[in-house]
Amino acid sequence: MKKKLVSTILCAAMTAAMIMGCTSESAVSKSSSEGSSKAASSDGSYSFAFLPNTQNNTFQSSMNDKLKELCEEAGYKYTCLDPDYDLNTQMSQLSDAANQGFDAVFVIPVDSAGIRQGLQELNDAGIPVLNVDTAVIEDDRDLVETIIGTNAFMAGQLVGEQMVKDYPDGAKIAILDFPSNESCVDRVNGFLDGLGDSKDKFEIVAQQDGKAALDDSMPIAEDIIQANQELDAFFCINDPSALGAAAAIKAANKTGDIGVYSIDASPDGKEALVDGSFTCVAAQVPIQIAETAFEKAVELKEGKTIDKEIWLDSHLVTADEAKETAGEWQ
Amino acid sequence: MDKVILEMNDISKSFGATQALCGISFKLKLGEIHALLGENGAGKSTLIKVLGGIHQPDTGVIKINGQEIKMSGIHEAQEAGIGIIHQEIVLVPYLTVTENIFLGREIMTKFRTKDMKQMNEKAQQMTEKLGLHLDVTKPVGKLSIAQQQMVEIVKAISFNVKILVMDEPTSSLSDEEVNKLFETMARLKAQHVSIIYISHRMEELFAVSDSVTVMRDGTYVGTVETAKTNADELVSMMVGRSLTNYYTRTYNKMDKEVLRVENLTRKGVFENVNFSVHAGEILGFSGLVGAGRSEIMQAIFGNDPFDSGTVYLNNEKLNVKNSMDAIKKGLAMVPEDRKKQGLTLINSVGFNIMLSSLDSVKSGIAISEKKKNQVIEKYISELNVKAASKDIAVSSLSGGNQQKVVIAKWLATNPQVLILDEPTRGVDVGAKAEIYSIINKLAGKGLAIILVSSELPEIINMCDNVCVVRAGKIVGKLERNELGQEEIMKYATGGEK
Amino acid sequence: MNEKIKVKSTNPVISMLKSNMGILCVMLIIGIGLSFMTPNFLTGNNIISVLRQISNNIFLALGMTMVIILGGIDLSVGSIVAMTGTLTVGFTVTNGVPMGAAILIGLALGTLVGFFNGFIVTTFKVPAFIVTLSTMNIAKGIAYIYSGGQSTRITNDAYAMIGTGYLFGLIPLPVVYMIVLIVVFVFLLNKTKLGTYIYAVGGNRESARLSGVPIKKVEIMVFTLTGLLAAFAGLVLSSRMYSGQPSAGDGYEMDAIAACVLGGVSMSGGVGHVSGTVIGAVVIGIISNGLNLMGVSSFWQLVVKGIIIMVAVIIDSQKEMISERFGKKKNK
Repeated sequence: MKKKLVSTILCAAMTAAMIMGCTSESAVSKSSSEGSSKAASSDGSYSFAFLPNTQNNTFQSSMNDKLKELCEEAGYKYTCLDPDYDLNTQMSQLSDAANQGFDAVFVIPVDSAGIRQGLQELNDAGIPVLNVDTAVIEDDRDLVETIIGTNAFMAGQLVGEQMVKDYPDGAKIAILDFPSNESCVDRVNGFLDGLGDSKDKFEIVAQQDGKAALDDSMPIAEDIIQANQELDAFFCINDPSALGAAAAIKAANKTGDIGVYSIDASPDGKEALVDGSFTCVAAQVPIQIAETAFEKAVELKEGKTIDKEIWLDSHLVTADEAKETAGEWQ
Repeated sequence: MDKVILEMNDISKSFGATQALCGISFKLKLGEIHALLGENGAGKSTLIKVLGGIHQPDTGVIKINGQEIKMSGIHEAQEAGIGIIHQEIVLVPYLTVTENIFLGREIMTKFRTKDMKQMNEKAQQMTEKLGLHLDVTKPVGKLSIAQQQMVEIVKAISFNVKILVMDEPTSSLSDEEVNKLFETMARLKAQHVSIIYISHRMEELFAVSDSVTVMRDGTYVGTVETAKTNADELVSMMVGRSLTNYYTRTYNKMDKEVLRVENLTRKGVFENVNFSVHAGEILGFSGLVGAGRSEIMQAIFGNDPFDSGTVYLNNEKLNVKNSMDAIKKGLAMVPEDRKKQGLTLINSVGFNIMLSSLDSVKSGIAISEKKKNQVIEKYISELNVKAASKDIAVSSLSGGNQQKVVIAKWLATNPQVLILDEPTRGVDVGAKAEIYSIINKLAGKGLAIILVSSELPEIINMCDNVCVVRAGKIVGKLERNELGQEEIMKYATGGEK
Repeated sequence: MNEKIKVKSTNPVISMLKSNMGILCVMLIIGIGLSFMTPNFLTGNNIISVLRQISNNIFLALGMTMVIILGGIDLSVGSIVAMTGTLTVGFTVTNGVPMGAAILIGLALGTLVGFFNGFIVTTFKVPAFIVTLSTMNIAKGIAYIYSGGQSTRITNDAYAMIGTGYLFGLIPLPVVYMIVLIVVFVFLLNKTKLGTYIYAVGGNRESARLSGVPIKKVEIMVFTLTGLLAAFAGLVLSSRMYSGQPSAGDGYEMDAIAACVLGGVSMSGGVGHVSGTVIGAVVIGIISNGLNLMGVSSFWQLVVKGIIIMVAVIIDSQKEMISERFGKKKNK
């Protein structure tokens, strides 16, 4: 019995230690959400709220960091509400936000078609909504002031154009897509458009759903490599998926033989570009989105009119840029 | 009384290559209790399943009240007025007595809700009618096994049953409860319900039945009137020859004391238990079911705790915390319930035989297949276990052979003391005789044996000494020359009769 | 009564084939079908690739086989995969722990979760389903807390070797581990005391207890081993992915359970063989591989996979029914 007791305590202690050792990291995103509760908007100081999908992803947390930084500089109040990919939670957060009387909210919808009711509540409360990154569906666009995002189609185009340059005579390519996400569909469409006139020279030998995740994409990429011995390149709709493809290529000892084309340019993706696992990557620009969104929100409060849709340009990330901004988004 | 209600003519049924029933004919008269007798494997259960619509016969006809009936399912059988009470209780333990009785055909109010009031009343009436006094709103799981069985009977009868089949209903009942059951059967008989009664217990057949049909190896042997036959005749019909020495016992000189128990007490269960067993001795433990005999054995074996008292093995204080320790020290126990406690039925004969003595056949960390097989083969042949192979699942063996496997398992641990708790329960006559001869042989080899049994003839014919237990206390110790049914019952019941 | 008592021994290979007949047929049918439908299926490279892909499921399914035979279930293995991968990579990259030590700590923590499962199950008599459902969340939570939800890249060559290296430049290391572990667990279940005890406890707990089987020890041992296997799977997977991913391992426990069930391990305990589970894992592996090779969309793959699993299990259960009808001699 004693032995068991000791082991239980040991077990509890280790778990506790682990949790405590790690709180410092998660505290960043937490503290921001506990920050302001009431909003004051009189003295030219505003209060903004950011409602992303999750903070468990560098893309969105970098936006949070940027927005927070900008608000602090300007002396505004700032809150981030994290629904952790749960639509229901986001709905209640939208409704909370409506009650708290923010001056503007930035929303990344968990489901493009699912948050109308929440948006309506914010509208009813007279709070302007800036839809960032992932757009809400056409029908709900009347409820948001503007949509600010990376030009996904253009990002795809850039990659497609680069591929034409790399394989002027055409190539056998495979696509790892993610059809349940609209932006990812745009990226694929942009990519195909980017292939342009050379389109016929490129043969798409496989197109599979990589679920935008590394551990899902890797085995699929492995199978595609097996099925198509003469494969030249992968086009992946995001970095995790592309990292999966790169791992599969490495496992098949074909690094360098099969190119990896990606969109994102996340810190991990940049590292992969530098070490040669990726051939080419077009940038998503979360930090620019955050900056623009902040800017536009202030303009809106100052009574200016703003564009209904703002699509920020993507660009191909060079190795030099990747080295320079290593560990960050753009 | 002479009206034939059920007639089964020339019933045959085979499963694959196995002929389970071969031209069986059986007649049941109105209002009679007809015992069906036969060793395990004789085909009794198959015949009952044919009657109950669970199996369809290959040939033969079933007539009820002279009308031919085709049983294509359980439903038809129920409609024809046949109710079967299986050996295992099939009530839902969490539902009340009433709910169980009316399960699937609840009486509804006009609001389409269950009319509990009316159902409870009806259930109460039905139970009273059979002389059963219990609270019908109690969950069945809280009742004793005997009461649950009665509830099964009530449930069966509530279907307007004309023919009631009872498959070994007394196997888990105490004597008193058995008497209750017989009273109920008498009542049913008075209500013109015909009963087919399956049991191994010879004395019960004589107590309750009007006639007996004997089956052997799937064939019909004969039907006799109970009043005009005797146990010897029935046994020879069952086994196909006469068993001269049913009990084998050669009394040997008792050697040194092996196990001694002093003042063993577990509050509320048993107290101040004192006894000792010697090498070569068979010490009987008699008493009514529930007197605490099994509990005492479980405590000695380290399976249940006890509050005070000491157990000595070879004059050394024995300290066992669980059965593992007990086995290491040289104790062995064939438990009361073979299927629940004695065997893992889905595993093979060999697996079961070796389970408790794997250490003896290890070489390094691996188990040596060769050594293992040697041990298994030794016991299979020594105890005459009838199995197609050592790799066959124990569940496919007959009760007697299953019990031999349990005994083999314990002998493989090389015990000094062997506790046998109801070793012949649910075992057919032939195998019973074999088990007695095995027990006798083991005692002859110097094993100290404790035999717990509810069957008085077994105790009287097999034991050197007997402890009679009543309400957790040893109330009488008898030596071989004092053993007699009345003597033991006097102590067991506490009566002065 | 004087009939000759036969005590024959059965050839283990034949009895293996016999007990896995149903699923073996399924495997052959799918295998043959695929080799006709896609020319790349039966190539050496693809076979190696399939083996590498199923290795991960097999690590988990080996543990799951033991747990299910014991009459339990372990839902936490997928989360242990995520936790171990994330922590091991994280310790090495973020906290600067020497790689060897980080691996040992990672494995130890995963094993600890397994031990914890067994400890709670035996001590408090809580059903394994509930206990492991809790630890599934806890382990996943630990992975997310530690990593802040983000994956960590690892570029250490030695670490990458674990999952991406080759033996003799030919057989991927995960496949080597897989073969070694299968051999170890076949041995463990069939040739050791622990193995026999696992079957005994799963077959009839009460009888096992009375027969002197140390039930608690057996249960704790099995859950701990399962935790260790899952931790190992997490280590290898993170190495193959060159990163610790807190989101990895989602639903892996279901694949492991599916492999067991396909392989004839009975959910009610007491019955099952490692060989069956391995074949079950192969079936699942070649289904997704084959469908990928043929370029079937992943949405349809889900449907096809579901149907094949169902059909396979039905075939298997029918087989049992048939043998029950004709195999058993007299029923009492």
